[in-house]
Amino acid sequence: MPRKPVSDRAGAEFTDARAAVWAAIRKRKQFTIEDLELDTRENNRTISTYVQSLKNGGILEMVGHDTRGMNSQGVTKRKHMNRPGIFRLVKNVGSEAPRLQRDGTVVTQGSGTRNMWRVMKVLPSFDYRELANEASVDDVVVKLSAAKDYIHYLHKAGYLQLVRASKPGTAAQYRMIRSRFTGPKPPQIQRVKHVFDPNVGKVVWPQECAQ
Amino acid sequence: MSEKITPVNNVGALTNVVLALNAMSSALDRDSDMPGILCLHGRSGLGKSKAASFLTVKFDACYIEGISLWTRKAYLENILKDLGIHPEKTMWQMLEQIGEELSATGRPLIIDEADYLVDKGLAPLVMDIYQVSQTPVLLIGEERLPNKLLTKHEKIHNRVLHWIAAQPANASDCQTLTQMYAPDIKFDKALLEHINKTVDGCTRRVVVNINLVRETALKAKVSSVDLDWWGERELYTGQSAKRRAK
Repeated sequence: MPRKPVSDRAGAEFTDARAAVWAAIRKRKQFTIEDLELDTRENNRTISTYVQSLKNGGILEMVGHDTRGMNSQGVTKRKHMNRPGIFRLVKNVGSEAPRLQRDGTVVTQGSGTRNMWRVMKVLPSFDYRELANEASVDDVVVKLSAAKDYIHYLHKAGYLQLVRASKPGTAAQYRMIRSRFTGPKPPQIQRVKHVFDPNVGKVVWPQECAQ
Repeated sequence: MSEKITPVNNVGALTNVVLALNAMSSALDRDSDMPGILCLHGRSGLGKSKAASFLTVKFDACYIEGISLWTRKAYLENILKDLGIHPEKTMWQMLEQIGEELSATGRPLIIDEADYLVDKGLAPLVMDIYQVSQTPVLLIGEERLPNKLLTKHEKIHNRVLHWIAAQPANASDCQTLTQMYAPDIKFDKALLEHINKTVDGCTRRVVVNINLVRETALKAKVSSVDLDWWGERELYTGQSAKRRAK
């Protein structure tokens, strides 16, 4: 089943399940998957996949098994109940939920957008070519069309101000409106071409869709 | 037409970016007893922002740009905003939040327009943040920033690991800039030299002039330009227009 659009979680404290799970992990430091389920009310499968990824990425380690509900021989009273693992946070990498695949490698999807959002905050003004250039660092390559697109929608959504309109041969220059920097997470252009800002957790453009 | 050109990904070839990158890399690898504050200084237009943006992306740095009326609390709150953390009520709690996040992630902190901070006497804040986080802090400011630090805050001045003086653009920087801003036009060396000399190595104005030459070339439908072709046409110098001789 495809993931639900991110805006379906509007109003929730966390914009995605993994962020909620990560916050719970950081709070508990040592836990079982059931603990996280109780804390976050997220789907069990979602939690265990994420815990698995974090374990493979070396952020968590399994320190033993939960022996609650067992007799002294270590046999579970109920046969179908296997012994849940106890995990411990070994590498606290900050408040932002690590983006890892199931095998523990880092997710690179979305890095281009993240880079562009950072560059927009730093550069006093930019056109799409400059944005693509500055956001392409190391292995991440931002295509000119992607930079153009991102500027287009963020301008519509009111994050950017037009500094100099385009004329034949010269691209339009934009700058970020300082007060519209809502946080570190880049606003996303959804498939339906709505702009969703994960920092505030809602659709900000078009207006009629903004809750 | 220009859509077909792929990004050249060579911001990292500019002199000032390389200087800043090396300084930051060495600060991140420093021994624990070495200081970790960096200072990038130089007059405006030399490409300090370009270097800042490159470092911010490359090292996932926390970046803030100072404003003259910011108080200590405003600095702390804005750092937390950039980190995506909801600030606690008091300043010492905010400082702890910042310390915890930066030391856990190892992300450096970049403070642009640091002159405002120093002018207001808020520089000890930098020491506080550095002490709680132990991650490199890069201060970016105008050319007099090192002097201001020395006279006003000697304690911090002593803890600076590298002073990076932003350099005026050189011939290879100009070449890199043409690849970035006018990949469809071939510039001859003498013309670039002429541009660079006219604007006194100011990167920002080199770019403005590269754009100007490119526009002119596109209008004239030429794809390769040299000094003879440009001739006596005027370049943008940023100075107000001279009075015309009668």
